[in-house]
Amino acid sequence: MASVEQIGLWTSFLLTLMVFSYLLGDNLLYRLAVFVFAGVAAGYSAIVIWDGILIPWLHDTLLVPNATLDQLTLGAAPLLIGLLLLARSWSTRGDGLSRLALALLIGVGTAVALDGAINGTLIPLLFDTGEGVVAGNLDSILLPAGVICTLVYFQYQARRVPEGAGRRRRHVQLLAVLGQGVIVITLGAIYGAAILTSLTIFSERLGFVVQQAQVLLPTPTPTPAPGA
Amino acid sequence: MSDVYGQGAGDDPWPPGGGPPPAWAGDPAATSPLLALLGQLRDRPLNRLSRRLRRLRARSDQLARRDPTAVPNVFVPVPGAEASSAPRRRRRRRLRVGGDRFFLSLVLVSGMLLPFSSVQTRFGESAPTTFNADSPQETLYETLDALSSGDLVLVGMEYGATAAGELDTVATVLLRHILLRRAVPVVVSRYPVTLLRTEQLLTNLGQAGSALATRLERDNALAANADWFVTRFLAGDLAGLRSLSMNLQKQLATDLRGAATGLNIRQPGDFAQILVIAERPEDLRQWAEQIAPLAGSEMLGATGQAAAPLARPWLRVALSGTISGFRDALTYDSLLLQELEVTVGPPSAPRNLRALSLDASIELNWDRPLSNGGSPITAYTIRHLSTPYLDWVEVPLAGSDTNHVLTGLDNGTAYDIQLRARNAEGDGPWSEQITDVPRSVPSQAQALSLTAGDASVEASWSAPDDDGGSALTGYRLRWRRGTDDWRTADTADDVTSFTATGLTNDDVWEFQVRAVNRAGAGDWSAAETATPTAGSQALANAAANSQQAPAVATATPAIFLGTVVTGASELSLHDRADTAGAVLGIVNPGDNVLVLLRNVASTWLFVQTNDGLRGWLPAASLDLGPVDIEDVPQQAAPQPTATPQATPASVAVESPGGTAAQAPADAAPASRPGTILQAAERESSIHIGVALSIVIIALGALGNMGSAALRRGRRD
Amino acid sequence: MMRSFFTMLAVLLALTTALVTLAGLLLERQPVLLAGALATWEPLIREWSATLLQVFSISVAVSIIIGILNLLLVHLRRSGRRETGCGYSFVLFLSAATVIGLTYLERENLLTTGAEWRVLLLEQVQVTVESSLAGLLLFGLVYGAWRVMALRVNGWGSLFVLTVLLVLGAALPLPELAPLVPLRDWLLAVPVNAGARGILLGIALATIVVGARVLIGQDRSLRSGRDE
Repeated sequence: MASVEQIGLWTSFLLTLMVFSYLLGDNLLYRLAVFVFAGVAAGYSAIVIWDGILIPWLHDTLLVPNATLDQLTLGAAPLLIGLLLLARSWSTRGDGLSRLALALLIGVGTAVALDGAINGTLIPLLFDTGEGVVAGNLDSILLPAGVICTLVYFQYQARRVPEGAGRRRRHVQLLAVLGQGVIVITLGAIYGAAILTSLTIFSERLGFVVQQAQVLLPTPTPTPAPGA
Repeated sequence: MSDVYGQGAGDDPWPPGGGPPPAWAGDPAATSPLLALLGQLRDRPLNRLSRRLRRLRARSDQLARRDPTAVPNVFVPVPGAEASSAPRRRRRRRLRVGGDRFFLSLVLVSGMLLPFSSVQTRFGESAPTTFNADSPQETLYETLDALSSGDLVLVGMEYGATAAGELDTVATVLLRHILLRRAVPVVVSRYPVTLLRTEQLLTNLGQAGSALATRLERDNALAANADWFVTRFLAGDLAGLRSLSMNLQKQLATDLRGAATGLNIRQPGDFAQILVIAERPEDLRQWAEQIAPLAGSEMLGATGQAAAPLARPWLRVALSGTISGFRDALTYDSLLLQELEVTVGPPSAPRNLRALSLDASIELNWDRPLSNGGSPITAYTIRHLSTPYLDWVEVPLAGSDTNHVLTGLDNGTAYDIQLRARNAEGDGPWSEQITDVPRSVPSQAQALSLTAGDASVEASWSAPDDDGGSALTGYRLRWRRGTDDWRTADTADDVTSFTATGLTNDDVWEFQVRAVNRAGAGDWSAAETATPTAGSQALANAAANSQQAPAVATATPAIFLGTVVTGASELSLHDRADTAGAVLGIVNPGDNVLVLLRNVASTWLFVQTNDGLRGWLPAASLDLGPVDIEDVPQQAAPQPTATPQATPASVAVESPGGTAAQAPADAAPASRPGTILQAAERESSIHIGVALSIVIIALGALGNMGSAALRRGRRD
Repeated sequence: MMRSFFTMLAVLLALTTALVTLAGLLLERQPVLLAGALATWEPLIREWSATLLQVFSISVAVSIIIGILNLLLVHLRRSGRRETGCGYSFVLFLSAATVIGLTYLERENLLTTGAEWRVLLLEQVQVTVESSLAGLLLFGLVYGAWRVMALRVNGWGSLFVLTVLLVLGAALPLPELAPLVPLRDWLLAVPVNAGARGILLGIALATIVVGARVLIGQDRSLRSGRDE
């Protein structure tokens, strides 16, 4: 009888082929694999959240023996917010309550995002970009220049109006074009890097498939390539 | 979640050739916390990957149909590909094989399969075995390498299973490095399933008998919530991350399964280091924004290749060192292998061999070898050489205890002692040599005689029959009247008489003496008594007696005596049988030396000078008299100074899952030394994939440019 | 009337929570922000802020659990009906139920090989499918780059393709392509770095704009459809 490990390897082999069948087009096998995966992911996520977050939270608040009112309120708040978020889908009357729960979350989220954007990104990155200028070499001047051009390009795009009004002065236009060039190069580099990542991931799957296939179809012992 | 970094990884950037502004610029709601809330289930590519695949397919279909209404750029969102309100017929999935796409896929797959096939194809150079000096990669390695035992390292495992093929390798080498330094990783993640996987990864890495556990000389497995921690899931995306720093103690109080961790960490600055392994650039950005400034120091970052360009701006701002991608992980693995000896071979030499002289025995203590060779130490072998025998006597010891008492030795005989460790792979090299002499306390001093004087008594005695194997260092005399307290006096080893003065006449004084050597004092001699009386002459003789200095000669038996004959000037004593060896001392023509060993070629002799110095002299420089040089014992394998031996014959090849196998280290390049499975094959496969991608993209671009030129020509 | 009231309440709640949280976050970064009598408020504000963040985090966890339950119920209902895709729904529900069931059986010591099966489902099903899906992106990316200038050839497109080719070429460790490496390194160090900084700064600025809109009650998500 096959061991659990062997069953696992063959399951993995089959699922990999089922997903790769997408190369031939969207098909039943591909979708089956994806739905199996979605179910497993949902199950694991539920377990991790239940075990790791909700149970300890309940033990620390609502389930504390002789819990104080503060503890009970604190413990119930997330449960209430979670339910209120769903209220909108249950009835139209729940819409207002749902918005209150949402408002609380949006308030907290906005504060965190604002603090991070200002203190974590804007200030440190601006300082670091500006510091480079002091070095005085060509690259250290090109870097902040590129950043400025990029921001000018974004600014132009953001203020664009449907009528096409707001014609830019020539030098601003030039900066925006340079900024567009910088962005194109950046996106090109990111795209190239994404291909490299995909190649790495695909090679791992390929290696696994070949390894399993060799169990099915034994091949001669590998021989080193000439000159290797 | 609408990707704030829509341009990242495999996501589709907005068009470089014009078109709408980026999502986050045009739609401020893109950064809304609500969207962050809805984007929690990051491990579900149904929402992301499938969407990307559908988009890419839809766009390429559209391009293939050459729909004149289509925007001429693959990066422009295609109506219908993502809009849920699009007509159903447009979204209907069909099994339709696009000819060119299928052909390109076939070419890529075929090429990338070659390195895994029966004829191993190698393409492109392997990853270097070291990082460039002062590079971010080297900084990261050195920072982790400087960790101390017990240091806590906060590890953000911010990647899902989508990036497992790339980042599992990275995470494995980094976590192994942390554990090898005996530091303690505390893992957090905003990817629920990643926590489960990391727990599995750490369990496999540190299981009993694994390369890591063996290297750490652990008989048992590394334990959760002791050697490493996988703490609970960080819900709430960005706010969840900030909640980690604000509520650090609470957040780390329980592990993945809700069990108490016992961690008591109050602020991010309490961690020795912070390391983030991120799949997406925004994960790295969020750590840089929310955690790094509060930690008070720069973090370390590891990303896939795709995120590397957008991670770069954080260098010097929030990150001190980074590595990215599979190739960096291979280099890292090589470095780890070189510096931390994750090898399977004989152990290195035991350290700090120490001896304690006992009566006819020597107690030995030592420290374990720095490396057990990747396999537990099963035994030690001690060997000792005494000059009378000139042959090493080996004493095998089972077990891994680090002490032993050598018994049945001759007191007073010098023993050279060495030790080596053994594991399943064989014996390691001999340790540094030490010399010690077993000895006991001397026997009783002999013939104590007393001569009474006026208020004094002169005591004299003779040396003990047995000095205990160690030269006497002196005598101790004691005397008393009746049951008074003893009075004492010490004499030098060559003084065997003493006059006790200030005694009361006509009382009976009791005297005893004992000999002392380096092992201690012998027994007191039998008591003798004397009664000083007025007018005695003993005092007059006392001074003269005290001048007697009988020399105590402790002759070491000479087996082969050699005389330095060569030249008129001094001769160097070398630490090895080679004139290039270090000079340990000098001998002069006419000096007598003890000849202990010869080298295999009989061209050098290992000698001991009268000063106790030992070293090698050219055989031609010594006159051995009637002794034939071949009669001198031949040098045994170890040199007087232990030299490290070449060790590994093989390396542990360990998959991230922890399955170990053996592979010869000096085999063909195919079996790259390292712990990453199929490393060489995967490298070549990736290289072939890159080359084919270049060809495909270049041909596509040239073809399109050619077609465009033709169209333009026709129009004109 | 009622809707306006809820909207106002939601805006007020969002504003209050945002300000309290933000104050706490800023005090965490810079503890000496408040002086004199105000300093006594500092620990209180920090505690409120920390509690709000914690409630946020737990609320999200609750909403995920509710979301997963909802997902499973929907698919269970769908699998009971004879409609398109009911098979897939059944597979999804079954996968999730298997994971949760195995975990339960393992915990209750009713299945000795529970841990092995759990690892199998995690590594050989979930990771396999996700990893294979990510590997599939390779073909989409390469095909996309192949056709990037299919309908229009322009300078930006050419620059983009050249950058992709340069990044890929320099990643190929062949001696013949070694001259590309310094060029790639420069590209990453200067223009790509500048572009990436521009993007990061742009995101930070956009976040600040969004944050300001929330703080002044202009955020759309706080209003119901009829308010607008």
